Amino acid sequence: MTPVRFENVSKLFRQHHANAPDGDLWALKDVSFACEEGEAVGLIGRNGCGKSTLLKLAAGVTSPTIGTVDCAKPIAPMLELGAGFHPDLTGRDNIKFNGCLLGLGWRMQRSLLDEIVAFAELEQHVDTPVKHYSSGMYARLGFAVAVHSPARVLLVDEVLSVGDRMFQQKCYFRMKHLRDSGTTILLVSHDSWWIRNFCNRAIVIDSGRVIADSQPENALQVYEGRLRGVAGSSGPGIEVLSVTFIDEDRPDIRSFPQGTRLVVRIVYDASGAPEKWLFAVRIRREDGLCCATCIVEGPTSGGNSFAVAEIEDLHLMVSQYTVEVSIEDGATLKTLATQISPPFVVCGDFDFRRGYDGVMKLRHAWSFA
Amino acid sequence: MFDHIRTLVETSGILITWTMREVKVRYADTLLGIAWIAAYPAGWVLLFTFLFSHLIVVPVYGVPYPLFVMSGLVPWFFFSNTTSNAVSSLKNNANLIPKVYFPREILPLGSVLVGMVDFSLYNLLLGAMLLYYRRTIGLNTIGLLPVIATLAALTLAISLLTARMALFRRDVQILVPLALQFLMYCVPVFYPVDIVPANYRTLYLLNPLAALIDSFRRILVYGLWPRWPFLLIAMATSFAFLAVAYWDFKRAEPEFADRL
Repeated sequence: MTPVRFENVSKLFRQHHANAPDGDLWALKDVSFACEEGEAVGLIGRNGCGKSTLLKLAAGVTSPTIGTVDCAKPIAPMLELGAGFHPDLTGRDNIKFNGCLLGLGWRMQRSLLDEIVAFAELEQHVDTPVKHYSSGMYARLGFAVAVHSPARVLLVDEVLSVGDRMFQQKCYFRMKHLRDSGTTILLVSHDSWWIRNFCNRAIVIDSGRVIADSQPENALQVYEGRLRGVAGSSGPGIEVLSVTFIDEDRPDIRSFPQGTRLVVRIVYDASGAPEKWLFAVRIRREDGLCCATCIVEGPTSGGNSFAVAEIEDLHLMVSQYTVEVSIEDGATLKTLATQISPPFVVCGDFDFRRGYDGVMKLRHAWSFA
Repeated sequence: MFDHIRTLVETSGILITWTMREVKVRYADTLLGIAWIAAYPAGWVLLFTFLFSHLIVVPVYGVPYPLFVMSGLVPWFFFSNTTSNAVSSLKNNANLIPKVYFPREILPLGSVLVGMVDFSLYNLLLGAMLLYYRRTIGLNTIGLLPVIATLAALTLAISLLTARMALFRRDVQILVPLALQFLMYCVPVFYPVDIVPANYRTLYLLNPLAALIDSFRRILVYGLWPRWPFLLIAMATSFAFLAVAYWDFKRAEPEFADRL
């Protein structure tokens, strides 16, 4: 059975205040998707686009106006960390009730209590009332309980910035473990690192509608396009059809040694482009960082054609990259169409233990007196 | 309806944990702790005894007045304290309801169970008073079972209804304490049913709460059986009311999170 299924879901919020200016509001409109076991699905969109409403519907705290929502139980909703903690009670007592809400029976709680407390790094404070906790401790405890519950579906709303870096890393590994052991995870995050590195899939929501449901990379692209005020990745007669790499020896090459030449072949259609338009080739590291940009003015002939960009001396650090090709308006610099290449790897001597860090590997020479 | 009840039984762990937590929260950080349980009714008993057996003499038919009034206060406290807690049970958990799903009736039901804990302790005090005044307990005590069950059902029905209504109308939270103050004069807490004029008495005892408090006192203090016709009417109305209130609560439940 599919753990999470939305079918033609719409949600209407009625304004109950007499002086509400705009009356009723459709928070979600005709949303359909399904998630499989062990799938981590990122939800991206601007504030107020309906992501949180979607999670609330999945959690069952509110019900759809139209359509059906099916979500396998037990569900661990992390819509807010430590929701339902009572300030006057100790950490231990709060774990009891919170765990109970998330489907942790008493027997399971007894065996997991130490593990939860250790995960939250609160061994010293477990018998202190939570009103004396710092906000980080509070959130860590909430997170720890949720990720130890026997949930089949985990709903995470923008709560991953909890704690220090060590704790975040622990969160990542714990969530990854849950995902790989079959838990379905729906994750709202504005942090593209989580979408890229943790999710198998991402859904972009805009004004309550799903506008993309694809690989995280493509979805992020669509989302960023939206932010820049572009309608999707293709307009009429403006499209980047494909981006591939050419290598004389090996046609399907996906890995390049440091310092070699990168040849990108771009098939495009610019018949609908304005008179003056630009080609932009951006090399992005796997975490989304744009490492280099090459821009050239597009030929006035437009039409269906192809171009080859040769990038000399690929002096990037060892990592995984993608090439993002976009057609931009020469006057306004707005992106008109975008396409992303399959990922490729830059390989070479790399040993981070020896202190190699950074974006580029610069050619350099040493001399000693 | 039966599906709702089955779900509730499945999640009874949450109900029990919630109730234990509420009891704990109530007495955590209070100086006198459990002593409040005794101090609270004692104050009322002293006040009423002064008012109605010294200033104005209310006829109580051969029973010490403190015992008489305590036997009315115990079920009354259960009803009124529970209702005034339950009315805000949904509203006060605005940080919980929109964040995680659980059957929402757990919250007003939890108020009733917390009320039951207090009720049991008050009954211990009442038992101590019965011993002190050397009252004997007979077979009629089994009549307490339907009385207490009906009292719980009626209280739960009103708790569900007012808790739900308080989410939709703020007035309810203001109205309930007022209504409770009025109601205390309309039920036989500090005076006996017999001083109600005979031609109003039937109407008076059709109020299920009046019939229940009267039955409670007749059984424990006077050693009599309850007035069966009125007790049966109270049972029928209370359980029917509970069914309607629960149905209404579950019908409105999907909207709760949007209202907070």
